[in-house]
Order: sequence, then C-alpha cells, then structure tokens
Amino acid sequence: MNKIALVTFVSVVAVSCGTWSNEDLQYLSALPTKDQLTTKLPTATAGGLSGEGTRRDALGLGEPSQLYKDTKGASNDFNGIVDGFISVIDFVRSFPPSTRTDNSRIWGPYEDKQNQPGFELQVVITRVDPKNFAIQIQYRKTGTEAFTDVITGGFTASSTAKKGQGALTWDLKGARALGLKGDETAKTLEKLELGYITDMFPIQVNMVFTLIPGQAVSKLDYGYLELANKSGRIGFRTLQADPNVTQLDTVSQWLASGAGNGIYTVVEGNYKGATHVECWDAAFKTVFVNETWPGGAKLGDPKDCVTVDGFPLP
Amino acid sequence: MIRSSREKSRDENACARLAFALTVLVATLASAQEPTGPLRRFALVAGNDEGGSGTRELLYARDDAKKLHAILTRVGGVRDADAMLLLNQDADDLLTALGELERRAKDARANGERTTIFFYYSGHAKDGALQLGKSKLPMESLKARLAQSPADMRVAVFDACRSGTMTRTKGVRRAPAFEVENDTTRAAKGLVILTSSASDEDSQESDAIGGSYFSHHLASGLLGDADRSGDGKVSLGEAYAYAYEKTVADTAESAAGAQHPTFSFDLAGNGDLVLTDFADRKEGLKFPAEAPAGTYFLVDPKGFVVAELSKVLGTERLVALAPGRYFVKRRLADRLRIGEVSVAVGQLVVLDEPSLKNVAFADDPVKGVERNQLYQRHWSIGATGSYQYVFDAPLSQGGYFPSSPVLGIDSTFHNAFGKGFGVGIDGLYGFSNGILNTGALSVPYRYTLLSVGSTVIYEWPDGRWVPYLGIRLGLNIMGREFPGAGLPAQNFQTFSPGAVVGLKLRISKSFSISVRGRLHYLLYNVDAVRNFGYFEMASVLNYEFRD
Repeated sequence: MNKIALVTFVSVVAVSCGTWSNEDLQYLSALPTKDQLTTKLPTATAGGLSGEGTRRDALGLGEPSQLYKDTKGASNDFNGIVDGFISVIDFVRSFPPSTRTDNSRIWGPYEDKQNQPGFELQVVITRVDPKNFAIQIQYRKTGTEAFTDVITGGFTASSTAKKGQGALTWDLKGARALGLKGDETAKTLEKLELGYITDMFPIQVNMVFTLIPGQAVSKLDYGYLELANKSGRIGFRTLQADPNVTQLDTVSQWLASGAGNGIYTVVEGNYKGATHVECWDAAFKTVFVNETWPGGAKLGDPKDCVTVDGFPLP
Repeated sequence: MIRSSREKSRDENACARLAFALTVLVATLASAQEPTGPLRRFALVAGNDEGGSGTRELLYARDDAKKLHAILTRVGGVRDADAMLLLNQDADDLLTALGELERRAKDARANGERTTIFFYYSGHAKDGALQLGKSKLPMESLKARLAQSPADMRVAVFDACRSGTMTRTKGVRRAPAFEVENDTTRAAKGLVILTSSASDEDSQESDAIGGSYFSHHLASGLLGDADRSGDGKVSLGEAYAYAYEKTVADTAESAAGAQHPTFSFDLAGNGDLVLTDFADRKEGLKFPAEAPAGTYFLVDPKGFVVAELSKVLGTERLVALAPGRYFVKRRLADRLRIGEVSVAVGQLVVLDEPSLKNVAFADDPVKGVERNQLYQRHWSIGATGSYQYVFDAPLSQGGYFPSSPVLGIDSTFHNAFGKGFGVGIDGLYGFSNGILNTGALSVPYRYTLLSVGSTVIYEWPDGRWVPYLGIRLGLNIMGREFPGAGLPAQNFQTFSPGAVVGLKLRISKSFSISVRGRLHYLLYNVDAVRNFGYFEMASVLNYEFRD
C-alpha cells in the first residue's frame, strides 16, 4: 500500500508540468504585439483603385492620389520596421519561459540559426514593480558566456497589463560590433528608437532613426496616431536628391472609410517652406490640390476635403 | 451411491434424528454433575469468503457468519460483549479470538458460572485444514484446542467442504474428506461438533437463499422453524435435526449431489442445550393456528430468504424475526400468496394470511436477486454529464483553473478483483469560456479539459439501489487560449488522485442511472507549488453487459 501511495505521489509530481501561468501572461503582456504597433492605413478593395502604379504624370482631379501613394509607401516601411522588432518578440512568445524567478522571466538562450547563425538569443523581462517591466533582448556568440543587449526598453502597464506605455531601443551599432548581420537600411543606422502609448486615444507609435555620421541629417522621425474610430495620422520625414526638395516632411490623415488628406512641407531645399496640400476620397482619387511654390497647381474645391475628427486639417 | 430422491432423504433424516437423540440421551444419562451457577454463553463466529490460491471466492460465507452472529446475540443468550465476529480474518486472528473467549470463560467459571462456547466457521476447507485466506488452520489441532477449552460446553459448527463442481460449492479442489465429524473416539468432554456435509461431500451455496444451504437452514431453524416442541425454544438437537432434514432435501437433486450434515458428540451429561429462546421475547412474526398449512418464506427487501416456516394447520408458530420489513411468500401448486409485514422493535406481529395476495409464478415480485449474476465478472459502459467545481478563486478574480461542465464516458469491469470490487477507465471532456483577470491583466480565455482516469471501486450490488465508493487516478490535460489577446495558448497536465462515491439505481436488468461525486487533488507547480482540489458531481447512465 505504501508503495502504491509513493508511486502515486511521485507520478503526480513528476507529470505535473506545462506552461499554465498567470504570471507569465503578465510578463508577456509587457511585450508589444504587431497589431498594437503597425499602422492601419485603409487600402483599396477589390475592383477599387490601387494607390500605387496607376498614377499618371500630370496632376488631375479624379486621378489616384500621389500623397496617398506616398503615405502607403511610408506606412509599409513603418510596418516593415515594426516587423523587425516584433519578429524577435513573436519568436519568444511562442515558447514558455526557460527560467522563472519571483521578478523575472527569461526565454532562452536559443540558437538563432535562421536570422543570426552562430549566435544565441535570450530575452529577459524583469518586473521592476507591479506596473513597470524592463525588457532586454540579448545576443551572444555561441560558445561565449556574456550576453550583449541589442534591444532594450521598458513598459509601464496601465489599467490592464495589455495596455500601457512602452519604449524599445534597437542598438544597431552595438549589434554590428557584436557581429550580427543586418540589411542595407540597418547599415545606415546607429540606433532605432520606438515608443508607443496604447492605453489611451489616440494610440501613438513613434520611431526615431539615428543615422550614422556623414548622412544629410542625423535623425529621421516617424509618428503614427490612431483614434478609436479608426481614423489615423502618420507623419514622416524623407530625404531626396532633388536640390529643390532635399528634406520633405509629410503628414497624412484619414478616416476609416479611406478618404483623407495630407500635406507635404519642404523642410530643406530651394523650395524650403513650400507646401502641397492634397485631399482624396474613399476611392483614393484626388479631389483637391493646392501647391504653394511658383507655378504650383490649385485644383478642386477644398470643401471636398473630409474632416478627420480629432486631427486638424494640415 | 448418491441418494437423490426426497423419500430416501426422509429415511436418512429419520435415522439422523434418532442417532442424534440417542447420543444426547446417553450423554444426559451419563451426566455426573449438574451445573450450579447461571449459564453464560460466549460465541466466536467466523466467516471467510477467501480460501487462498487454488480456490474460488465464496459469495456468502461472511453473510452466513453475520446472520448467525445476529441470531446468537439477539435470541441465543449471548451478550454482545461476549460475541466475536471475524470476517475474512486469518488463522492467527481466529486463534487469538478463541484464546480471548477461553480466558473469559475461565474467569466466568471461576466465578461459579456455567459456560458455553459456541464456535461457528463458514468458509473454505481442504486437505484437513480450514483455509482462512492464505492461512491454514489444521482441523485436528483446532478440534484438540476446542476439546481442551475451559468451558463446560463447546458447540462447534463448521460449514465448509472441499471442492466445487458445476454449481458453486465451497472450495475448488479435490481433497481428503472433512475429518472432524468422523472422529468420535477422542476423549474430550463437553464437545459437540456439527458439520455441514459428510466427509466426501461438498457444501453448497445457493443464490436463491443468499447463503449456504446448511447455514441458511440452521439459521431458519434457530429462528423458530426447528421448534418442533412449540415451547419457544430451539435446542441443539432440534436445530441439527432440522438443518439436516432441510439441507438434504434441498440438495438432493443438485448437480453437486446431496449434502449430509454430520455431528460428533463427546458430551459428559449436560443434556440437550437450548440454542435460542424466544418464548418470552415477544418479537417477530406469529403464525396463528388458523393460518393455512404449508411452507412460508420470509424474504428481506433485498430478495433474500431470511427464514422459512413449515406450518401445520391448527398449530401456532413463531418466527423470531429481527425488526424490519419482510415479504411473506407462500407457494401453492398453482400460484403464490404474497404479502408484506413490518416488525417493530419489541413487537410481535400476527400474520393475517387472508391479506396475502394471489400472484402468478411469473409475476413473483420477490423472486430473489440473481446474485450470481450480480457478482459475475462483467463490463458496463456509461455516459456522464457533470459539473466540475474547482476549489479556487474564479478566474475573473485571479484564479488559475476554472470550473466547467464536463462530459464523459466510462467503462467498468465489475467484480474484477473479487466480489464487489471493480476497475474502470474513463475519459472526460470539459470546456468553459470567460475573462481572466489577474488585476493587472484582463483577457478573455477559452478553456478545455481532457481527463483520462482509472478507478477502483467497491460496490454493494445486492439491491435496486447500489451504493459504491472507490479511488481514482486521473491524468488531467488542460489548455486555455486567449482569443484576440495576442497571448500564447497555455497548457498544464498532471496526475490527479481522488475519491469516488456514488449511488446507482437499477431501472432494468441492464440499465441504471446514478449520481456520482468525485473529490480530487490537483497539484499546480508552474508559477509556484499550489494545492488545489476539485469536486465533480455527475449523473451517469449505465448499461451493464450481464449474462
């Protein structure tokens, strides 16, 4: 009888295992999700107008909106960068923590054979206090001991752990020094900072690119806002070879229907200070244009521009 | 030669009665001393269904022992404190108990009391030894022990035999004869030994009466049917003669052959011993003189015959039934007469025969339980619907495991390890949805539970209501998802030991419904070691595959 009781006890203890953890959920909630950080720019539905590749050279009412097209491109770039952050996080999210302590969870180390062969990845989330978490995504060469922080940040939970305010910094210079490989864009950057606020409207996601020395500018910004009614706004700065427009700031905003408006502002270049206002309808076709540089066009009636509640007209 | 006709049995009965009476008479004449003090009786009653390897478990040995113990303490003049009942205990236990009674008898004699030790054993015997489970007790040594016991009178009754054949019999192997009854030459004093069968016979059990033939008739006789003198007392001679006659008659045509109880007598003049006395008790069922002649069967609510009475017209008879509810059944040539009586404590109920109802044989409502079927090994399957309540805070308040409705199937192998013991396997599926709120986190969840388990139960299948209890070891595999929350699914698996209790109601021969409760322990060890439990209340629909 005693043997049966002993076997039962050992079986219960030995077989009790799994990933069932309320605590883990709170730590995982400190990590942003792709859905929280990506822009949600309305796109053409089937049979509608594609914003890209159908634009004719001449500006004209009823033509596909160039500003929408540029906004779409920027949005794709923005989301691509977010993907870069999130892919590492999602990789971690698919595994239970390897180590649990009272105030931390550690995932890994795992060999990152697909993205960074020869390196091991580890994610550490530390609970600083019940609402504040520190995040470290670390790499080390396989066979070495010490980890180097590649992505660091923090998250402050608000009403629910799923929402709050967070920031992540991707130390690309340090990553290169460690030997991690990156794409062409990454080679031009020293640092990429991402901040987000998800516990209040408008939801905000900002990215600041710090470029390596020798570039025309030292920093480039992306900013994204989203309202509860799915209206959104994105602002971004681009560098161009055109001497008239070497730096161009763009702000676009839209309704959930897709109709929106935006403004280009020449920040640097011969046309510094000039602006281009453009409005488009739900089919992404131009309904109003107003360019302020010499010979610029002025087409349509500004009354055809939609008003995006919560955001002023650019 | 096997004698199988009733007429031959009657001849034998007459011879047996005469032999027993002469023996008692001789003993009485030879009596040299009369007892001087009050009579004090002691009883050691043992029943053991198990006989060790090579034997088949008996169905009624313990029940027979319980029946005799109850009769001796109620109407046999044995005080409760002076009676010992041993059920499925081994030879050492038996000898220890006998030693204790001998010590008490010795003390009583020292106080001037006359003493009697009544020893009863029902169980296996073979190769000249009682088989008490895995232990053996040689008959010769026990007989010698009883012969030396410090009591004025020792009455030993052995309901045991050797092999079994086509019908269920006591023992399963061929072996030398049961020997105690043959040796009447020993020089012991004051010892009477009764056995249930002759040296070359089996002692048989009957499902219809729910006991062995011999013990059933001995009990029935002690309750009153053996009281041929009508004085409200049943003597040893009356009881033996009655049991002999009835046993031989009932077994004459059985497949195992007629069973002939025997006796050995080595008594130095104490006269015939009164075993039961209900003359002044006034409790039981009285059959008035005008009640029709015939054999009456008194059947308990479970369908087992508690006592029989052979009634003669014009004679008043009494059966000292214990308080309770009974069916009275009288068998006529073409029909049954059936009624119901309730005997309260201290109450003597008079049978009103005209109140019995005529019932066709085919409609006999108390035909008895087919106990051999109940205790056959057989499978059953069941479908369950239950609710599992976890002893934890709700998930909306930070709990870990949710309560949930559960559906399941199970299968049980009844009587797998012996009478009443079954083993079963089952599978359960549970599910629930809700909100997990840990204070800092509030997310929807979708919970699923898959559990497979094995259960060992003990059930009491004799009646329409079948209670059971047991233990269960389950493997619980739990999972939860958080739809739309961007959080990974989680899982947990653990063995979960628990206890089971249930009550089954038979609604037909094969179908039954039951309510069942399970109380389980649940170990959680991911975030930290925490001890949970859960209770399951289920309703079950069962189907039993019985012959």
